[in-house]
Amino acid sequence: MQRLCILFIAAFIWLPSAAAAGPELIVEVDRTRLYEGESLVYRVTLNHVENPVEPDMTALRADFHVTSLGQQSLNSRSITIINGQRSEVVRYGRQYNYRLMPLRSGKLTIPSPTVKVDGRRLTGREVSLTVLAPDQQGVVRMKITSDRDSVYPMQPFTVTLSIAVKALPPPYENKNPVGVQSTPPALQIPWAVDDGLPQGLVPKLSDQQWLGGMENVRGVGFSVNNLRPRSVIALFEERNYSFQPEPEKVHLADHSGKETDYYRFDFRRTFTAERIGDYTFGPATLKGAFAVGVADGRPVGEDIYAVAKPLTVAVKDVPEEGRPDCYIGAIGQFELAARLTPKKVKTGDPMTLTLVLTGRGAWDGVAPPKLQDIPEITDHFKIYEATEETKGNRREFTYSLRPLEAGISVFPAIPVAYFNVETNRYVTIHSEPIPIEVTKAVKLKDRDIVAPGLTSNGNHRELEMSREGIFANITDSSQFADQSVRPRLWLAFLGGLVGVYVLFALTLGGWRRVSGNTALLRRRMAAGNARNVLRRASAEFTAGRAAEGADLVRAALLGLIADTFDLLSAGLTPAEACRRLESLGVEADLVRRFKDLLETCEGVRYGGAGGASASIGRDAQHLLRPLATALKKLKIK
Amino acid sequence: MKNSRKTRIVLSIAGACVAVSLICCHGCRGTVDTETALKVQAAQQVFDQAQSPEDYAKSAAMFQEIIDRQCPSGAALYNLGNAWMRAEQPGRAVAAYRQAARYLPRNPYLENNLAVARGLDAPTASRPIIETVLFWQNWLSYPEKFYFAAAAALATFVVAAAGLFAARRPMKRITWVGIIITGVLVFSAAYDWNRFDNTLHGVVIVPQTVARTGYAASYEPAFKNELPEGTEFEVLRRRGNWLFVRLPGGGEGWIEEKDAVTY
Repeated sequence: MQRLCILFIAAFIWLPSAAAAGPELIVEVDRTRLYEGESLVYRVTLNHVENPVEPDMTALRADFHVTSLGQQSLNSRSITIINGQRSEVVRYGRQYNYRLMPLRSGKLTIPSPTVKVDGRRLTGREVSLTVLAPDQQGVVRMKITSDRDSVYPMQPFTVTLSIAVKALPPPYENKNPVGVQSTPPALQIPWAVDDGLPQGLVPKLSDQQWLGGMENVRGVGFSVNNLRPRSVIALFEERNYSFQPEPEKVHLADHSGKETDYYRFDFRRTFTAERIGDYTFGPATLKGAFAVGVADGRPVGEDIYAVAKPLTVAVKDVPEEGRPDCYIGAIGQFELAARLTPKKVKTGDPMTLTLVLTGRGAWDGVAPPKLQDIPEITDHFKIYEATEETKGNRREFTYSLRPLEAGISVFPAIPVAYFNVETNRYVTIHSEPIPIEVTKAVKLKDRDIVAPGLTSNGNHRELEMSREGIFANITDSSQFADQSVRPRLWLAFLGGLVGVYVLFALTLGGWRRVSGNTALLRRRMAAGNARNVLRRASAEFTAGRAAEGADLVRAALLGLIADTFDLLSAGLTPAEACRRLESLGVEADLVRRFKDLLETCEGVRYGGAGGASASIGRDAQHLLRPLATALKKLKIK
Repeated sequence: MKNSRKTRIVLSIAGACVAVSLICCHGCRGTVDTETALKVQAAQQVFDQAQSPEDYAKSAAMFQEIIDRQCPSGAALYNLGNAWMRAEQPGRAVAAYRQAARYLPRNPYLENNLAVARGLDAPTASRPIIETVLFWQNWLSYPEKFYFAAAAALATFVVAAAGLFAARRPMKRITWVGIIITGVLVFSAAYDWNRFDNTLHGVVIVPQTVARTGYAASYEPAFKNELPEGTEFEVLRRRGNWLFVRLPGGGEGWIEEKDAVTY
């Protein structure tokens, strides 16, 4: 692996210098010399190829067992700016990694891989390998066996790796031959770890459960697939776990045919296959030091490499003989239940039938039961295609159906057959019949239905058609009108209503406040009333009735004050009116003019100021405006 | 006697306002223009003549175009769901049916089709308490809730305005009842506004997708199981081409946007 890394780094260092070169195919291997049963990593790199295609590996399969280890992109783009000079390097490529296991020993050649990219054919180099056969030795003998050569899917079978280790020479013949090594022999069992199992092969116990039962905490036994504790706080490299099945002392012929004592260790693992096909187990390999003699009273060891030939177990399809028509492809052991909703319907109404198959077995080939082939159902129901859904150890088939006639009182039992791997025969199970009630649908005449729906032009509205019932479309085009909602507009409408109400309430309240306050009303109308009276006074003066005119002027002025302060005008004297004005801070000049005018009016009224009568009306007009303005400015409670 | 007569008159006016406003609101629904009607006809024709899932997918594309062009309508969304269902794309069908249910909540066919699209035993999210209290929430359509809220507001306005002239106790009580009813209906409409227009929903449209703990394929799966097609979720965040989603059961994870459709 280290060598592969070095090669990989070297290739990457070399790549930039070759960046300008054309497409190429680079082949790398991590070793060229290995034992039969061992494997190597084979890497194919497509360099400077924009649209890479995976190389064709079929030519290798004659001599190698090929396993893909995945692929990775080498696309990259780097921009460098030095002294303002910009340079850009763009690389394209893809790496494909494989694990190759030679199927025989000797000098082997990995043929050149070929790829056709963008109309151009790329060829890599051939790689020569030396595959060493295991040494002829009688110390360790290995064999892979199975309790069944062929099985049906879901039928359990047990694969056994037997390792026979020659008993130690005397005086240690009764000691465990794998208990004397300082390092446990390294065993490689391809099917020991769950991650490496082919798709469709399910172990009875997980790798942890299986190996955990054989773990030896004293380090006696075999290391398996280099499994070791994984601890992030370990300062030193941890030792591999050791596993040792219970040994059995047996007599076997060694490589020279001589009967010899051996200790046999059996690694048994039970599987079931969910898919049809051939499953290969092995080869398994063992490397380690084993005692081959005694020198100076101590065992003498020798490095041994042993291989167990691979074994294939065929998983065949279930027999055609005796296969019922209602077989749905299920293999294992199952139960069937049925649900039907609703149970009370009218003819033509949709119903939903759910068949639930539960159990343990192979689900891959399971198809929905064909209800269309059951006359008891098709005579009375229209069946639509089923949908299916898998949930853990159960699969649900959902059918839509419609009763064709009234009076059906039971939905018949549905037969389903599966293959039972324990008894090697087909088993037919039935769902329970379901009581239902189908009544006649009321059929109205067209005119009964469309009568209320006359359109403006007098035509009958087109009826909505549900031609197929479930998943049938709405065809009445008037229903395709825009139904979008604009919440902000609605919000504005509500806000507007609230606003209008508030405005209305404020206006009404204000009007009420004004209409109920007579003092305020008098004050507001004071100036207007005074002007009206003065207008009448002018008319009296014009007519030569000075006394009446003077009375009206007096009434206008005192009335202005009485209205402004909400007083009785009849009892208001000029002196009191002047005091009111002075107390509220009206200009002294205005108060004086007001007082003089009232005194003049008094004089005219009683005949003492005949010459002034002509100017009273004019003076009153001139006084009224500033006086009214001054009174308006006053803050009167 | 005279007072009770006035109250009856005001209440009659308020009732008339509710009726008129509801009729007006219902009548405000847009009409179908000729071009849309023709497009509906063409999409339906493709649907009727379809022989394969691909044909139904074409019909679905035509219904989608109608929706995109003329804003949503329950019928178009319902037909879109049917087309996707027949095109064997239940995930997209669920999304369409869910949107259609906003406008056609009492359509029994829609309810059945949605149940089939989701898988009849698909787990349903627990109903929020608020939808139990507002029991009509999934019975009235999205626009209808706004119509009712507006009608209640208008009636309350009329009663309240009348109460300004005749400040009598029964009138005030009726006004307060109207305000409470309007408030509840406005809340009901606002709740829909939030869950439909301000919340992004989605459905898985590929056979299976892995929800991850981060927004890249290198992150660990968030759940033991993959999410099957038709899984519904709420989108909480978006980062690049990844959506941070919450499942009805409360689980949260990141999924690739291309594996889902959002609405």
